[in-house]
Amino acid sequence: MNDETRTPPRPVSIVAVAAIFALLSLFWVLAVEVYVPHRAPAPQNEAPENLPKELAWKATPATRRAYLAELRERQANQAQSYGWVDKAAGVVRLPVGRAMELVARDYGARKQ
Amino acid sequence: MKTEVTASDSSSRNPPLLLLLMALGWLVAGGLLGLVASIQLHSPRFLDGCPLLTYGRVGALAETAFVYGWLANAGLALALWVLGRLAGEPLRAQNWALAGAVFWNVGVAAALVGVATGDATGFALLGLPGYVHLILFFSYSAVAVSGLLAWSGRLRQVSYASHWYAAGALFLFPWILSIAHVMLFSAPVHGVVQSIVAGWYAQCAWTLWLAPLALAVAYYVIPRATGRVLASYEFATLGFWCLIFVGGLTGGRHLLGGPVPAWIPSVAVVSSALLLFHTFVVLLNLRGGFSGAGTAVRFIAFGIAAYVLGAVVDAATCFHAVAAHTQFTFFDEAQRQLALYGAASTIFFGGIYFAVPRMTGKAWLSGGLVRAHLFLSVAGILLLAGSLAGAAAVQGRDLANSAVAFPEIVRHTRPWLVAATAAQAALLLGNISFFVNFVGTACRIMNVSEPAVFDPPRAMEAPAP
Repeated sequence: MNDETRTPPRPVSIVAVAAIFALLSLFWVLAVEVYVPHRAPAPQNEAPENLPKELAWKATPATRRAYLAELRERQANQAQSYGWVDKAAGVVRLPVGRAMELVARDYGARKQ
Repeated sequence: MKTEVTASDSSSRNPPLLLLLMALGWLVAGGLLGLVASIQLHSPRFLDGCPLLTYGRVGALAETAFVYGWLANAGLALALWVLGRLAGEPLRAQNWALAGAVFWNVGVAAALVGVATGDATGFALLGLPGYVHLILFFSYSAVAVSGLLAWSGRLRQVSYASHWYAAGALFLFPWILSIAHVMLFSAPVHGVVQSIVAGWYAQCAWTLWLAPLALAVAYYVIPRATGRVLASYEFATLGFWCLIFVGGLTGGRHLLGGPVPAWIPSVAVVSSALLLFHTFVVLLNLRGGFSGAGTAVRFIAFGIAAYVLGAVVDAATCFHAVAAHTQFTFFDEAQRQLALYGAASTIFFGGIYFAVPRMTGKAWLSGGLVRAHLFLSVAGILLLAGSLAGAAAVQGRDLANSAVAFPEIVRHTRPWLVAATAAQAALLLGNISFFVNFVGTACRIMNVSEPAVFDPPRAMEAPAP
């Protein structure tokens, strides 16, 4: 079969193409229009009533995410800075990198 | 001997040939990734220094490349070709199909990048990240436009089993993908319902998408290649509707004994048994393929045998007594390989061996590579499914015995997994030879000095009646 015998296909109307796309999108539209608006919220995503103030951070996913971000920031600061843990007992906090150096130096001294 | 090449074959060949080229590229890439994943199962230190190539990612990459790269492209190409031929005129909206083919493969490539960078979802057969679903949805729909126009605008009013299965697959994949996307990604369901939806999608991807595409090819090629009408064809309608109505209900069988309402696995068990009727009809209709000659028929006959065996095994593993030994073992993987590789892929191989000479008007470049592919594929699939089933038997026995420690179970399954790696290597070799042969054959279109209508070697075609 060479190219001279090739028959051109019939033209296609854009309406037919749009109709097929609409038909194939049927369940997407149904899912978005019917299922999503009536979807029951997950119990863990609903803010409970009468939540004590100290547990307010647990109320919704947004408050939990905010609390987690704040916690991680606090921990990162603590791991990278000097400070007192217990001034009376003489316990200090120091950056993790510096702490590793000190531990390695102490072990090296002990081996010698 | 002269074979029939219709006017629509050459006029409609560009979209199917592009899809097939992409499909075979993904087949080789997926095979390479599958081989790496298979080695890592028994030798976990292999490539463990590179996070991109750890087992979790390579396994998901291999599955995505295989299902959405190879099977989807090949299935779409053959569906377009079958629908175009049955329409009796050149495919319409070919530009839509070509654009869809390009964007589908862009979507698959983006999905692989996403999976490699850690965005895999963890859902079976839906490991690709949610953000590529939209591009896959629209590109598949664009390809489907061409096929559905060929189906609805066919010159003869009569429709055949190939029509039903091909058009059904073109409609059903966008529908199941859209439901799974909304319920798992854009507005996810909660808790255990996610497992139910994911199980439903995985089963539907097989029973309502890939299996119909494969059956469309088998129903088209077998009567043409053997020169005989399909036996008991009057039952084909019942078989088709049985698959459509019951196929989607079998997903819950993977949740046997799980924390889901008891009716879900129960419905799935009953549906799996009912689906045997569909399987029986397929066997009844296509049994002529087992006595046919030629590479295409041999591949398809092997695929039909794997399809029937897979359905019987699916139904058998629904029994609690059987599931107690097979659940949470390599048996799931053996079943998946039997279905996706043994059934769907081999039927597509047969379809491609039948279709490409008709599309290009040229015989296959090398008969030796065809025979090598047939031998390596059959041997590889038998070894792969057999070794994984063997590993599952050992694993199931050891898991049931509390005295056997986990490292011992790993040691006992190792020889079987090494055999599975050998099978993956054989399949990869066969697929590389297929790829080379395809590219060589497709390139012959450019050589106008060759005779246009091919004279097929006997090894590749059954003689015409």
